[in-house]
Amino acid sequence: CKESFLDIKPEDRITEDNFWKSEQDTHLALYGIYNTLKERHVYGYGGGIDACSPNAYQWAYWEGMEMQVGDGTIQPGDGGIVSERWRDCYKGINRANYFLANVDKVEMDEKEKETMKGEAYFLRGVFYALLADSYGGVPLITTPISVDTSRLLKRASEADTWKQVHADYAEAIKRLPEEAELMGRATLGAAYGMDMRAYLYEGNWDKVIEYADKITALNRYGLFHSYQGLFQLANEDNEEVIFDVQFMDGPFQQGSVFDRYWQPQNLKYGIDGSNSVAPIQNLVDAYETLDGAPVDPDHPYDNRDPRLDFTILRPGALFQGQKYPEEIKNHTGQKVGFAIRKYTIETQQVKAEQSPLNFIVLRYADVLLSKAEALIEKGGSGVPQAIDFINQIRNGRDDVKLKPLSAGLSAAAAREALRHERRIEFAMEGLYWSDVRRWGIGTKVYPIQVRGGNGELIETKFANGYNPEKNDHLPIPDDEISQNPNLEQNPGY
Amino acid sequence: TPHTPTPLKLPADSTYTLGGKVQDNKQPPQALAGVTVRIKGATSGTITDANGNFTIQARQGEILVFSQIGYKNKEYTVTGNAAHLAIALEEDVATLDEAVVVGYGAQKKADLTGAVSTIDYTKELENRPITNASQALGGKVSGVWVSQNSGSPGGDGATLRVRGFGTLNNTNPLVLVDGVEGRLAELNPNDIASMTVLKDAASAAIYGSRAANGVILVTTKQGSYNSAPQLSYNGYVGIQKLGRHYDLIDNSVEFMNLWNTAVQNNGGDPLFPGEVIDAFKNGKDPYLYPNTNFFDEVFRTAPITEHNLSVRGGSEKQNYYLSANYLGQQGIIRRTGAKRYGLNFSLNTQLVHWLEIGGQVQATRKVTDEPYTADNTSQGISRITYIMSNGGYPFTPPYTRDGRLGATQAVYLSGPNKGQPIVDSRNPLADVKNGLSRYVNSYLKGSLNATVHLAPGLTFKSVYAGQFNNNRNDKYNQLIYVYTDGGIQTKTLDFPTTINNIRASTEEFYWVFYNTLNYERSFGQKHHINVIAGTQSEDRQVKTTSVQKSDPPKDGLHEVDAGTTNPLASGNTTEWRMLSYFGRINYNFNERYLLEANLRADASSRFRAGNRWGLFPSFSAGWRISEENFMKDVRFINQLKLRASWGRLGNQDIEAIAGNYPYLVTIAQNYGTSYNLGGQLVPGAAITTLVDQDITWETTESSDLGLDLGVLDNHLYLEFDYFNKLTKNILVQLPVPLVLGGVTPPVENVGRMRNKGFEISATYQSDSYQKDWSYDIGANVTYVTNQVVTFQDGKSPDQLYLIREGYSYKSLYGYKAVGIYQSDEEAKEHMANNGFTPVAGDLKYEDLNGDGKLDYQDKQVLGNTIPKLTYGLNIGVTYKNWNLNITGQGIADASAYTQNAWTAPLGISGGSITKRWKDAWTPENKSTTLPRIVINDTWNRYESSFWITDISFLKIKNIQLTYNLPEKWLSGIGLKSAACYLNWQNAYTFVSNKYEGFDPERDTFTDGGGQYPTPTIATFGVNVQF
Repeated sequence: CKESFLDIKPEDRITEDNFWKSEQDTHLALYGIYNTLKERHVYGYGGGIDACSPNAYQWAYWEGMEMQVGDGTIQPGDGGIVSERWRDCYKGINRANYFLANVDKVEMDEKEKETMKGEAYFLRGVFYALLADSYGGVPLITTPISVDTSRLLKRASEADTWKQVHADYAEAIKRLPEEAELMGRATLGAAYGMDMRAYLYEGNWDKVIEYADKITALNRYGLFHSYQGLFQLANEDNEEVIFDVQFMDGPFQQGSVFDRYWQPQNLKYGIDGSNSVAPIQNLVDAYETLDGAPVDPDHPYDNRDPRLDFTILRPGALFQGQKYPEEIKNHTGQKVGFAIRKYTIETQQVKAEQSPLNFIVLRYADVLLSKAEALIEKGGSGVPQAIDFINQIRNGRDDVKLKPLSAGLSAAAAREALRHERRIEFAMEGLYWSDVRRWGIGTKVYPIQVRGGNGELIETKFANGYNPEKNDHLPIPDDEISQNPNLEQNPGY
Repeated sequence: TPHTPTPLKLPADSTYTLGGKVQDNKQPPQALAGVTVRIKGATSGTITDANGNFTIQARQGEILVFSQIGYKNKEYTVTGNAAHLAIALEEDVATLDEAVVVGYGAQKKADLTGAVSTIDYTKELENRPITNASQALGGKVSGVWVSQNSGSPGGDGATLRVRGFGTLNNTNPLVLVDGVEGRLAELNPNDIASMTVLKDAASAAIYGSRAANGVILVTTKQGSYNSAPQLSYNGYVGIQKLGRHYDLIDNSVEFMNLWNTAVQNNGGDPLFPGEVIDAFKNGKDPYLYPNTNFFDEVFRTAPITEHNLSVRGGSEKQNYYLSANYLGQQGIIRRTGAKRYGLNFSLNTQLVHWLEIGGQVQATRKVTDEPYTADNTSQGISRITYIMSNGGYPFTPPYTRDGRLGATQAVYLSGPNKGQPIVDSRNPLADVKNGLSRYVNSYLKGSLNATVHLAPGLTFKSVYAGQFNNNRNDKYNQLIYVYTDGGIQTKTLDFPTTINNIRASTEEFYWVFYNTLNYERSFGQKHHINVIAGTQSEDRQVKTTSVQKSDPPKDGLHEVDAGTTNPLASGNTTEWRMLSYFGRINYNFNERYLLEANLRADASSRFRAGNRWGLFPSFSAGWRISEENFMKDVRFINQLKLRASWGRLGNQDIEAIAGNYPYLVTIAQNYGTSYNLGGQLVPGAAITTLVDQDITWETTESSDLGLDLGVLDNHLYLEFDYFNKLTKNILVQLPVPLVLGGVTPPVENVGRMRNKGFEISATYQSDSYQKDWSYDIGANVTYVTNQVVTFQDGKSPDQLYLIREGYSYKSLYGYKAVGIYQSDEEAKEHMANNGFTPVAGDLKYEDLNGDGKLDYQDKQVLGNTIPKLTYGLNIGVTYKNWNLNITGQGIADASAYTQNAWTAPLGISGGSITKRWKDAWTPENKSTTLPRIVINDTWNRYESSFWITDISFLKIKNIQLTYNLPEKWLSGIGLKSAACYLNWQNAYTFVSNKYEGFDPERDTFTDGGGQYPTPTIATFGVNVQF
């Protein structure tokens, strides 16, 4: 026997020897970055992140640890969102770094290459923004790194982390086209918009206004005519969508988990869900009545902001022709009487984790409300314009017609109105947790009781009160610190 | 009155003269001198001369017995004069002068210099209705830890560990069946003649890179030349029952009250209204107010039966062995079971005087059935035990009064939800009855060998073997509903709604071709050498295919083609090859001084060219002190031998962590790295695994010092071994920081681990001369300490199964529970700086650094999962035709982590509660060791010493009573021998009463929750030889 007898190679995978040779390879690597958007604690859990906020309760407390974040008992070693958001944002960052470090090895159409680089920068910005928002300052990596290096990294300051976010978006803005070749790829509008959100989270009001205006100036985006329709399969990629995570059905792990997690149990038609995350009374109570009258305790769901029924499955509602919760039910242990309706598909058969509905990361309503918030926070002459933006949200669609706010509100009243509107408009879209923290209202809104469908007390969120210094950030994962002595834990953990 | 046969009248001159030659059954046969030839029942007799010849006088019907130490007795019934009888004696592997199978050959046990243990499998098997060959080693051999971790029919092979855990990777010993790598599970245990365990480097080094975990050599039964056909039947029937199990609360009222307490302890309101509890308290109707224990429903008493028929024999030029086997075993979990069919045929022919050729064909088909399990990856009944432990509430009746599956009967009796279930339904019987998952394992092995006698003492042997192994899994599921007494139809928890028809197949082909040249010669009277050299090449290719479709149009259509949606397919090939050269020299001076050296060179396709070759040498020496002249006067010592060895072995069995190309940088392209845009799948790729291109073999250096001692006319035989194994370059995936994005860590040669200890085995065989009774006692003890010597500079990550320098591999690591907080103040004071503040009734953990909070710095080593002491005990007593045999097996100094859905009250979202939780902490019940019971509990479920129990046990593994039918009964009906027996397996286990769970003989690297419990088995069997 000759030793060549031992030369066998796998025929099921790409090896590094033959990668970065063709344009095809660059696309493979780019879509590999996009792939990370679907990770549960990047954007894959969608509105479930609201369980970290006063909006909802995650009874499936072992699934992603949103419950523990939402009631203040989260510990650095708990895993779930604590380690997965960290890990998976860095997964995307490393893939983007790998792309940017190698793409120039391939000879191809320069314009297309530049666009793709823009996308890689954009996505890296998205990941760093999520990290900055969740953990504060994090280690900044912009080139491929070795294992040894990874054990020595230090955290940058929160400000420097946001700087990295803006730098990445700036590179993206230089390169991205207004219209993407394929629906779902990053565009100039998406880069402006996500940069606007980053400035919003930083409280850089001038920049928020500047970037909001840039988006409006593109003249591509507007409010979709129907709030309910906005989250329906038929209306994906409508004019309100600026950036979304794309899902498709079929057994290729390309669908979302939303229907599996949000729908109730024991449906005759549709998916057999587990109701992992449920909106709570505190959120339901926040919905206004149409005429401003108090809620009728005997008919609590009459005369309400229609967005309540579009967002929340409440007792007495019909879902796929069945009455909730008499005919379709919650999962055991989930005694909260509500379920998520937004982002569930009611019109067709869906299989577990094959939900094809895209998740909207940024939509035009957010541009309006972000600009409104910036105007209000800057105070003075901009406030009436801000009220106008809020009113567009309140009655600019066919199916949401609320009483307009008075243009003469004080800055303080306008701030309250803005914050209320933001909570309702984006309820169960995973944004409120960030808003509560950046507004610094944790101490004001907590503790909050979580009650079951029969009124029984399930638990109290932040029973011992909210500590902004600690609870405004996630802990750095315990395992990560034990592997890297240079990493500092966040205060309070 | 019984009919008494009239004795046959013989003529007075019926004394015959018989003569012939006695030889061994080797090729070519050697004459045996000094063989005792006597007439059975008489004292007279003769011995053979130097050429093996004898003559003797005997009467019609008398039986001649030929006996010689080292050989099995042979009998011959006198029928007339015979001058040229050819008697072939078969070597007896059970005696001290036995020939022991070693790598690529055999040696006299007396001449061994390595640490080798052999068991005569025929003898062990006759005492045990074992279903998998691996089980027979339990308690029998020192240095080998045998742990049967599952009672799953068709999947109940035992885990074998030779001298501890030598590496962080696969620690399974290499199993060679007649010199060819194989698996014990594929063998019919009845076909095995003997098993030899090569424990130290000296004896195993001839197998080089794959021998670091020890080698088990299996020799199957063969026919022998010049022997009459021997037809044997053995078989048994028996019943199996669930043994030790979790003691669940099966009283609905107690259960609901505890659940209410758990909810209230979490700050919530009671879940079950008082009126519901009262209704259960007073209700008598078992369908409305059940108190179910699902152990009674899911488990059953199951039959087991095995039949084995074999025939062996041989003429002057040919011998053969043929066997057929059937094993039928139903599982103690309903709707599980396995059937195994085996055929084995071997044939050897003396073609010409210098050439012998032989071949063997072995075929096994095993069909294993179990309910559908959604989990694609593991064979098991995980879903059933999952639902039982995470549900299976006592207030769910197994069946409704009209025979349908029951749903929860805990329903609201008033209010807006009147008639609605309070919790959802979790009836494990729905999963028991769900569909079918059938594994069909088809195994075919063919081998050919040729032995050429080139010159006196010089032999060339060539062996080719091919093995084909196909594992096919066909499965489908069904929609099964459960019903309340009121007729409301619901599903049980997470019951699948999509009907899938799935076929998955793994096809493996392995071939090996080896050639050896052997030279054996004596020089003068005192020098004896034996040299062997050889080459080997081998190739293993595994092809997997899996196809699936969903939603067949009608019930009962279970083929993949019947599906209408979601077609899925996957398939892949993995392969590895190896090329080897090896050699061994034995030198024996005057039967006193023994020397041996081995060398093997292996190259594996699993490493990059340049890193492929590994060299594995070994040296050993023995001194048979008892043969020395100065020992002649020391009468009480019959055998005394000192042995010493050193060697280096390798391990390349890293497929589980690194696949077959661990050195290759690959870029993963699959659905898991892809995206979709505008509703279209767009393939994506990413580096998901880091690679160290320079990895190479793990090597184990092992030394052994041994002493063999036979005293009291060899009645008492002792073996003592001290060993020290150091494994270097252990291939490990070190966890890497998450900032690398969750990539699979590279496989690197980093760790070092040491196993050292000693083993003692002692056997005492009583005298049976002129007595009706005899007895034998065997005991073996192995003490091993394991230590991770070098690993990640001592900074390995914290984890429950800790791998860290200075500690035993997979030591249990976590918080140390030191008590229970008796007041909120105490908790607050103790955990002053902790993010979460425990309350009265919660576990109190030791705050190691006293910083008033609990984090990774407070974790400590809490116990070792690898038993330090393992032991076995065998007792046999024979009285006339009766024989009683008892085997015990045990471990000591080991702990197990036991937190799982059974032991943790109410699982994760509702679940079973074991009875001990009735004593949980409450303000009224403070003097307890159990914390308060809380729903959504995180604090008390931290990995801590509270969930760790000492798992030392002594198990009465086997008790057997055999009755050998008297010969006078048999001769009339043409039987040579017959025995029947009663056997009780896994009879009883002594273990700490704190241990909650199934059989403590289990995997200690898991929490034990998903274990298929090992049954206790009672059988009645017969062994008959015609």
